[in-house]
Amino acid sequence: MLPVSHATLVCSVFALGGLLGAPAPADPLLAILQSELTRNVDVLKKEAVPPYFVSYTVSDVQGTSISASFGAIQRSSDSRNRSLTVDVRVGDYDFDSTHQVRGSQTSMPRFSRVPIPLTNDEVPIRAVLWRTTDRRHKAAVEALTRVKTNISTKVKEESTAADFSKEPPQTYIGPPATYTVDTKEWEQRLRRITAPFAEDPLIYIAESTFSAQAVTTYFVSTEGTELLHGAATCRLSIQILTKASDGMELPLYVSYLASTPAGLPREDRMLADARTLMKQAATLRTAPIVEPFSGPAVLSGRSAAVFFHEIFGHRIEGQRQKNVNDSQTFTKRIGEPVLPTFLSVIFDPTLRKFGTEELAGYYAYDDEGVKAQRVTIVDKGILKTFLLSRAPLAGFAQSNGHGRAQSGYAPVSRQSNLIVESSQSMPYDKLIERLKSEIRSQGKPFGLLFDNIEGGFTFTGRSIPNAFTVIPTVVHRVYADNRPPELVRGVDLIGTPLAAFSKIVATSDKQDVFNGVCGAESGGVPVAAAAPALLVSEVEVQKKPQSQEMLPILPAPDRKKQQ
Amino acid sequence: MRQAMRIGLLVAVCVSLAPAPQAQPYPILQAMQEEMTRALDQLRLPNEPAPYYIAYAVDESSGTRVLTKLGSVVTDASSRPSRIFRVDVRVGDYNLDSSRFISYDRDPGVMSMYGQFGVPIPLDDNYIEMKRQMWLATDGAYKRAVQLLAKKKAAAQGRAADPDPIPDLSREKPTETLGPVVAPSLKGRAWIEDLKQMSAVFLKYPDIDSSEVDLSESQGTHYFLNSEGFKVVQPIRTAGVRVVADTQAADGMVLRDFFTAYGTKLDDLPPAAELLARTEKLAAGLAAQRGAATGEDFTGPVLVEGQAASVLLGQAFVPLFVSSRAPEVDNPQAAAMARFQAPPFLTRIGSRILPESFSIKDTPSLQRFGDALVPGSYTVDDDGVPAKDVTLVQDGRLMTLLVGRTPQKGLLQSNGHGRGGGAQAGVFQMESARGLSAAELKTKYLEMLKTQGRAFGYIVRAVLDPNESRPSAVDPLDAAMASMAMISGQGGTRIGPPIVHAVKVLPDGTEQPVRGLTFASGPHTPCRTIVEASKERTMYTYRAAPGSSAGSSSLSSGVASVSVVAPDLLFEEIEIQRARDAPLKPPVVPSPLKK
Repeated sequence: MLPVSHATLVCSVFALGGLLGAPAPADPLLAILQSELTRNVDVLKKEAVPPYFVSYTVSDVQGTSISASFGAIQRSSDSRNRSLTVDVRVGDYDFDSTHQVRGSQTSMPRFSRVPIPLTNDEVPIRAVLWRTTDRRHKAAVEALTRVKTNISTKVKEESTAADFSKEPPQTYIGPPATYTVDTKEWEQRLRRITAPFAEDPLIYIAESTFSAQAVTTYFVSTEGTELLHGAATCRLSIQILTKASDGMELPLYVSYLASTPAGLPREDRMLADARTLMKQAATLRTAPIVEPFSGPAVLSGRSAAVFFHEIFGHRIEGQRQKNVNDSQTFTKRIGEPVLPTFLSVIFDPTLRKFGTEELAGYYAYDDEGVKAQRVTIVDKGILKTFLLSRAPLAGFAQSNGHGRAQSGYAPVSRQSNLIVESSQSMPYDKLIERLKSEIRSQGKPFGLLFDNIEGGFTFTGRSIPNAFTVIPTVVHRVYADNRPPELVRGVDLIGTPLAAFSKIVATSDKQDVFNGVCGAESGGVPVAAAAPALLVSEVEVQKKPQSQEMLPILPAPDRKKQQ
Repeated sequence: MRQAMRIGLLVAVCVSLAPAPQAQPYPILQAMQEEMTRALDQLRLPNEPAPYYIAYAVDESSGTRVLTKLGSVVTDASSRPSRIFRVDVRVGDYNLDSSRFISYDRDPGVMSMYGQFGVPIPLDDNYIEMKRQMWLATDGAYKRAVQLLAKKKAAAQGRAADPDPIPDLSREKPTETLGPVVAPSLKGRAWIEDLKQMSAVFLKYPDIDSSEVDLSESQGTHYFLNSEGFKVVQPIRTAGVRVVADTQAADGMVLRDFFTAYGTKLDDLPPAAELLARTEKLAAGLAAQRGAATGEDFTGPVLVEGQAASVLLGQAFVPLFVSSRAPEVDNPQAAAMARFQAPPFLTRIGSRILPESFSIKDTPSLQRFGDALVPGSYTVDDDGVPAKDVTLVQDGRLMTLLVGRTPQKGLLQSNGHGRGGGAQAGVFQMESARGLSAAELKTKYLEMLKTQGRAFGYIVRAVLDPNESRPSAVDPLDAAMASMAMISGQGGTRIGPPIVHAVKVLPDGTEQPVRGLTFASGPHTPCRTIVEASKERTMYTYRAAPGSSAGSSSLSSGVASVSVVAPDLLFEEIEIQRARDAPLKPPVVPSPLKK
């Protein structure tokens, strides 16, 4: 399952100063990492099963998080930690200790992370590096024995690709990431943003969270890569929950991101958005329920962005083309049409902004130390390549800078900034007109407009149907005649990938951005997707899982009767 | 009031049951009271029972955690205060209520879960918003209670009626224990230099390949209120320092030692110089252990001294004296897997379990042991019931068990031991009326070895407490590998606590240090084989893991300090094993601590 978390707006904009290729100023932590790496490898290379690759990654994370509910602060905290992840590979680039063990029931995600001192104290840091390198080396030796046995006892593998790509070493020393937050000021702001929700006694949850995070990454490897880069992240989200009288829970979200606290929208805009959520909540409570339906629909830009992330993006991640348990929808389709000819799909982690919107999937180097690259995955409908980490595929020997992971996880190929481009576009109003004519020509009573979404998930395995679900929060029924669109509730958008793509008819001429955190094998990584609104000739919706819980028995405590 | 007289640490006052609002010095308690009154008066589903019991608790606390390694700070976290609200709503009556029943049914909504776990309430003194959170949590808890009682009754219909049913909740006399609300004054960060100095001791020991020194403190106020009139306002105060270190012998055997010092606040702990000296001693002792001979499997008389005796009692004895009652489950698979057992000593009340000279008491009133404060001491339990000193074993005979408000057969009243989510000990003391001096006890042991014609015996001087000695700043992957190695190495059998320091002793008194031993068997067999004890006693304090008896008290924040006071113990027969862990080869690369 690969959920895009709702209401999580991630901005991950690098605050980088230095110039690429400039002589590396000695950073004290990098120097410690480099010298302990050399000291360990010099001994280990004489072992019977020596490492052919070792890397050290240190993530230094500074964070602030504040939450308020209905005008009162609920949580407010600061944190700082530094953790180390060590990768040791034995074998060689072609065949190494990370090779997939087919049929293994116990293949847990490799999560390995150990805290190190917060200050650059050489001996204590070396002690952790040394002990962790020893443990990871022993584990790698064991793993190599297991994969060799697996190879000799199973049928010949379909994929003949190497296990690890050869990449040019990178050197880059930027400044560490940092941010400054006026905690008291943000606490006040969150109180003001969440206070109005108290006016509606039928809104049960109304929470706003502000968070700022600065992540500085230190990376060294035996291949000579040496990197220091930083990313600062600020988010603000508002989430509310109301209930219809039939028990249905109705969540609504809004979120913002920026690279600095000051870059977030002004408070009056947030307050206005909060008011909009309140109005939507009130309308949704009494909105009619849509029965299961198939027919034409428009997905707004944000909805289409999630749709592409789930249905397309996850299926062109490199490691899925290699994994024998994966359905491999597109593995053999390179050079073939996979989308309508008017669509192209690009992944561009080097893009900080799309129009005026900052993008969460921006980075300068991926988590394997490979430089970020713009990659055209689909050009005018034709599949060109996959998202690649340093795990090569047959015919694709190099990474394209998409090896990503949450701190502690082993990187795999993951999405960055997904951009959908269309040559068959029209103004949004025209697209809605086209929807109306589709409704008429199909003889349907109405069509659907998916305006906003909470997120989605998809299954790419072989043992369960290869379906996707997109979870909308705001859906309208659109009629072919002059009746205005009508807010409805109670449905999720479902489907299967190949059928869904073949039904895309046209797009709007303007992309919208969805920023989120994507969860998969290598943990949660910030991603963005920008897509135009889509007209789809046929979608299918199913009923949402529904709470049977009635409304609270007693009214909310009397707010006028202050203590 | 008898209880209130001796609480000492608290300023106990008795207020009238209906205090005038203007005299209310506890605004949080007032908010709890108002929302509870509303629920008691009005919260009711049509054709369903109203709540017969409601309890609310708020834990308001802030804390510090500092972890150092080799003279360097790895974690330095100070939390701003948090306020967590917990609710227990029961329908039915004292004899049969909605508690002690676990249902696996789930509503897809989030509101139905509201209040099932702790709910954060405002840090601001915004009492309306606090009451709003309490309202939703109470609503959710009540609806769950109605469903659980119906399911519990339905499940009971299929079974023959119990001729001697045990009530679900004991009836107790309401008590108010109202102490002052004290603003936290956290001092952990003032200790950073001391902690760095302690952890820097290990720089001198390159063979010790991992070590950590950590400090934690928590301060705040606990508020408790129930519909019977129990009221508690008392300070939350815990503080502790812990040192853990690992080394590997040349044959790969992993050796670990630890020590902890707990108090209610950091000022209670031994002075920094003493902690530093203990750290030095631990480091030197652990390094020396590497060269010790490996112990052998052994079944026979064993002398357990000092800290080892109190840790062993805490591990193997304390759980036997605690009452528990299995909840029912509506999922047959889960019920089969859970295999909740009745407390093993329940059927032995009235029987002889130790030699006649032995007695065991749990005395939460004991505030000092010698010069030391007793961290396990407390005045009221999680249910607001005043703690009672309980004689568990008298003249070798088992008298009763420690119990909270969840009754058990023959244990119908609480003795004020509802702690940490179940029943738990506070200050567990064993003594022998015929206690010998430690020297006499050793002589007696050597005589026993001679009489039995033994070539040697073992004296155990330090035992590892597996929960307290688990290092925290480690790679989760290594921790997972270590636990897998342990399971495969030991063939999955349950073993007793590992032994840190033991000596092989010849009948002539010659001692030789050994390593790699662990107590072998399950818990209660050694009880019967205790023959003698010393007059001298040692105190050891640990933080008990939250109780497993779900539904007994959902209002506990989970952790309870338990102090064990034990004499040196001479066992006639105990089984000791050589540790069976699959050893990891020592690192090939020399430690960076080696110059």
